[in-house]
Amino acid sequence: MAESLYTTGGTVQAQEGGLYLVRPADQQLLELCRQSRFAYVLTPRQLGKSSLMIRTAEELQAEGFRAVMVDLTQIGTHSNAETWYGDVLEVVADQLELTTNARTWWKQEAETGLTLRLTRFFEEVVLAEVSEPIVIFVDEIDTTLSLGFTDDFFAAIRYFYVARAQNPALRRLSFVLIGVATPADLIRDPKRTPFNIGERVDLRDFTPAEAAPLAAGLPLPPEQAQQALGWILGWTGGHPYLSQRLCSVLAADPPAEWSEAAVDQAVERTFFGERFEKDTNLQFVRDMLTKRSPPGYAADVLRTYRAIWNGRPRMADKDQNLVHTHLKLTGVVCLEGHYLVVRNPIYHRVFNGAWIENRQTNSLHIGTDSQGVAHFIEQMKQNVVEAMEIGDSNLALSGDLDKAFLSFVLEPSGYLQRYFFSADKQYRERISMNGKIKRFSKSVDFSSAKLSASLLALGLPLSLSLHVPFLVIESLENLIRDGVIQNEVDSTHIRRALLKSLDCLQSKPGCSPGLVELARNAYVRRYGDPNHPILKVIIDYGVEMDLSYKYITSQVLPNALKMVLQTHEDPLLLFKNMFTNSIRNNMAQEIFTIANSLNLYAISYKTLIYLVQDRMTQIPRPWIVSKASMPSILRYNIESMMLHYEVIYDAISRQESPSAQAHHIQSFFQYSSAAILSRYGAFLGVGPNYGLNELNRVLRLIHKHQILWDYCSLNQIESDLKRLGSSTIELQQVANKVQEHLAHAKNQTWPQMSQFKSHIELFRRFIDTFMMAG
Amino acid sequence: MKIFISYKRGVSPDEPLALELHQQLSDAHAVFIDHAMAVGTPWAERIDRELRQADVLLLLLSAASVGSEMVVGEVETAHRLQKHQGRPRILPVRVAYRELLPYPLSAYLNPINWALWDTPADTPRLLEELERAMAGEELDNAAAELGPAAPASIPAPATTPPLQQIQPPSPQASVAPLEPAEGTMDAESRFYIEREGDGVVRRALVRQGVTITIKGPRQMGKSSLLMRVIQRAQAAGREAVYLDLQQFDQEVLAEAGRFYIQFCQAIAEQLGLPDGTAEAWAAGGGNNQLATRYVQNQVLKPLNRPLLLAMDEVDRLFEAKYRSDFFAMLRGWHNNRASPVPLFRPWKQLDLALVTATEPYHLIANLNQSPFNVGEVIPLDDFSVEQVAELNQRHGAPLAPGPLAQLMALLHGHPYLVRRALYLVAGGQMPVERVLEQANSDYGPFGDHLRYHLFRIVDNKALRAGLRQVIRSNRCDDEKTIRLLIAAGLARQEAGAVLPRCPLYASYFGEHLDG
Repeated sequence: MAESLYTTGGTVQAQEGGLYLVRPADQQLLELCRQSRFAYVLTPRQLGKSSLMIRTAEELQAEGFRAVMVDLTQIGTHSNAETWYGDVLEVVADQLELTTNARTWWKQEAETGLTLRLTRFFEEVVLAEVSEPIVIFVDEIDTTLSLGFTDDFFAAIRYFYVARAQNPALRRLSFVLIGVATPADLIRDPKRTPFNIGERVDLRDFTPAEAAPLAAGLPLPPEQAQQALGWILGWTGGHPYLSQRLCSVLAADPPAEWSEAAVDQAVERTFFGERFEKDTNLQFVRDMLTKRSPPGYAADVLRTYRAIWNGRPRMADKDQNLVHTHLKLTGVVCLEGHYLVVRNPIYHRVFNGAWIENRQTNSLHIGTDSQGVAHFIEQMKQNVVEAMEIGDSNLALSGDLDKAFLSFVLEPSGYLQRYFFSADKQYRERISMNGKIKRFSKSVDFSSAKLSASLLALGLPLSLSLHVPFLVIESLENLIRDGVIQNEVDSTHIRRALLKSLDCLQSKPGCSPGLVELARNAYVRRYGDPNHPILKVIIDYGVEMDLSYKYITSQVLPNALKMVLQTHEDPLLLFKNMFTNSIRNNMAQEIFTIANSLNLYAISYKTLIYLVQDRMTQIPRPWIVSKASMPSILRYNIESMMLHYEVIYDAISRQESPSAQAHHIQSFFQYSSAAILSRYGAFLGVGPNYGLNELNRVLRLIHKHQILWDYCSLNQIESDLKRLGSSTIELQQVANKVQEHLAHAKNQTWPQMSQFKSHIELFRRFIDTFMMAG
Repeated sequence: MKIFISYKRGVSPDEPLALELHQQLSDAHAVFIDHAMAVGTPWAERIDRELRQADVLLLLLSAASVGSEMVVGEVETAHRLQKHQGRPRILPVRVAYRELLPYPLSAYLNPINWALWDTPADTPRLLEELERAMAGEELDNAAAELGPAAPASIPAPATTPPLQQIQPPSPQASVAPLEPAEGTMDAESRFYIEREGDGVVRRALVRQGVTITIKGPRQMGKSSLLMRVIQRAQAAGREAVYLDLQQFDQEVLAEAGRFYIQFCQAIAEQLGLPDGTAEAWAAGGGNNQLATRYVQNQVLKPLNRPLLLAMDEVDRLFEAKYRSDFFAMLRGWHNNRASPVPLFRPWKQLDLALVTATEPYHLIANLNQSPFNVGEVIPLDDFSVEQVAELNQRHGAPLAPGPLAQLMALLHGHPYLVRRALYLVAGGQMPVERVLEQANSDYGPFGDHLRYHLFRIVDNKALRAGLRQVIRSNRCDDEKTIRLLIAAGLARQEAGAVLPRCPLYASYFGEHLDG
């Protein structure tokens, strides 16, 4: 049975024909156990930890030891401390075939604290009943990471060692801890950790000599099989899982003709491309490099890994470095002397530069908002969605909405708003879906108030600043339609909640007379009925609201603008509409000033652009031009351009429709600061270094994402380069780099040149108008 | 009283009887029958609504209707509604039909009394019986009369005689009786196309103590393969326990305590072992530990024979909070086999076979505690071009290469639909031109199947929106929706894009989900 020789998941089932390969670690662990010393094996996944444990236990039993293997995943994570410890002791007692009923004993002694009870059980029961030396293997100790109460467990294990001096019987009892974690993950307090009293056992990849028996499973004569195994190990570096997997693939489906190329093909088939997603080991490594990196260190992990992957210069291992420890635990890197290297060519190829880049791009997207917010949203989403799915609406929902609401008020952010609306949508769906409003009525009274308050708090700033009260109205309308607001009581609730929400906004005295009228007009325009109950609520709200116009503009408007920019699908369009309204003249300048003070240069920049385009505006041109040449605005353009590259690349890689792509590309060139700076930089009073550096960045990106080539004009770039000149050594260096990129790019063909040219033409005309206006 | 009549359209005597009942009952009751719905009525919503409001589901069971997915869908929905709102009550009427019900209808209907109708002469008596039943009495024919009442037992195919040598396909295959495409296939059906997974199963089961995971979306042939696993195990002298998690109530699944106990009870019950869960759980402890000890001490030890534990639709546990623990426990059972501790010896006798429509990494995040990546993992996909050609051969090659290619293009090798098409054409029920031409019609060759799927997602806004997006732009923004669409067999992923499972779905759902 060729297939059963290899083990590609779980423990080697040796008695069923599985092949077990002996490594130095076997002898090392066995020797430690024989001397009843404490040991731990903390290594990446699928290096053969559990197989090592079983093998050692077998050997120990043959030598007269009693071995106990506790697999903590089997104990489970959904229980309290009492049950968990009871389960663990029962497993120990069962395997040692004790006469004492562990569960009963554990319950009887319930008055004793956990650590003491645990140690007493071993001292008074286990060692009393068993006369042989005992080795207890605790497998999958990383399971304890998700439990809050296992410090006692490790403390007890430490005690067994420390107390040997007082109680010589304890010399018969030793522990081996096995798992995927760093000692620091498991217990932080050095006085309680058992890891500094135990010996560390390292599991390494198979050496060619150790791996030699694997050849037996390949359907080849011995000599050729060894040769083929050499090719296999060339890819896997002797990694236990990867080697066995590749062997089993080749044994199950042998190539017609064995050659190094045939093995390469099998590697290709098994691990690369789409297969990558299906391999458990590669998935594990991927998750450890991304999702499961230590909180707050995601970017560091990738950055460090990238440096190791590049390999120049080599990176020395630092034992205390959290990122290094984590990377070693992923298994993707290992030690070569004192240096960290990528473990094997398969990892090197799968987790390559392009892969890292991709990850980094992804994390960049999240990173544009503060990490805390992103994290919070994730958490919230999980909580609320889970709560709603499970049907535990009453408590969870109201609490979470409360949190969402508060956070929203405190930290207005597009993410939160979007999140909030989706939560609200789900909430409403749930209510209408179940038709169980009555059942929830108790919580509805409570949460509807909050819900409405939150909606209004969200909608109101927008409605005030942008004159679109529809959001508010829509929210209320939905609430009424879904029966959440059914009667007067509810609207009282809403009013009260609104006032409360305004407290949160720290409102100041002085009323906005325009709001009521505004809302009324908007509503009448939209629904044609001046006497709708919704209107009453809005009007009441407006009267009760104590917001001064000044307050709104100074506090609410910036937030609203920020929200609009971050959430609206096409903020440009929205702003355009805004400027055709009557507020155009006085609001535009205000918006520009506020946005600028908030470093929201995107808004201020776009505001200017629309002012330029709008022939009706009465804002003086010199004002616009003076604002447009502010260094902050110019700097913004550099940043926004980077953003556009990402958007374009993202859009193209997602294979959106051609029209969407065209849209992105067009906007890309419209706001390309490189273009602005290279052509008009001097005119606007900034030095050429901006432009040159930008140009270099453009080219680097173009170089990297080949797809952008289609939209670039090399001649244009070349002339830009000439125009910018190179006065300093530093600039000369940049210019040289640009030249290099150019040389490379010149070898490409440009099928879509005409399209590009028309974009540039558009852009030029725009800039010229802009300048003429001055 | 509001009555909903469920029957198979276009079939005699089902349809005439249904119309007759409709007419007779309408005097005293509000009766809904899916017959004369105007074109363009959003019928799936309508049926859903009517079923919710109905007091009684009058269910006509015949040889034709028990194979109808739509009928199964209506029964499932009625069963679920009953749990939540106490109605509709299901009144099964067997229309000249006395066979054992196929699974899963058997699971829902076996415990229920039923009425019998053989000829039009029986109609007046049937009406009387129904009126009595609606007044609160039981129907005349006792539940136990046909088929056992066990809620989660091995479905019919596994009870057929021991495995015989499967004949290689031969020219004579064309004279073999045709088989309709519905449901789980008999283990020795000659229309069963062996795929890579069959070989894996055959080789794996030679050993003892194996773990097999079969994964793939709905109607991919997972349960059929599982049946073959069971049959092979039985032929090799092992005991087999079949647990379909679909048959565990939502309430039970939501509560770890109840689920673990019922899980152990079901195993013991099928093996004819006494139920010792009460004492076991009274001692206290975590569920994983209790269940593990129970299976070890009260199942494997007394049984003292090799045992295959086959679990269908394990993704039903997706919503359960404790699912990671449960699956980690199964993984632990797998690991126990290798343990040298004498206590664990019984575990060497246990084989596990798990069937899931959801990608396992959704079920348990930590791959290393997952039972789905140890042992043999068998992904099932749509039929390839070669397999469809092979199936065509076995049906006596009713399709020429041209139409066969057209069919393949339309169905993307969807195993059930391909078999359905071949069954219709080979049986002379419909020429292939009409199959292709009416493929996406409500009452065409695949109408029942398409209607059923539409019916299943009609009250789920997110799924509808998701599927629309998939059809329109080949992507879907919501991870959860993607997972559900794929598990339901409505979509598939290819090179990063999310596509409708087959062009037929794109055209049917594209049309019916708009607006």
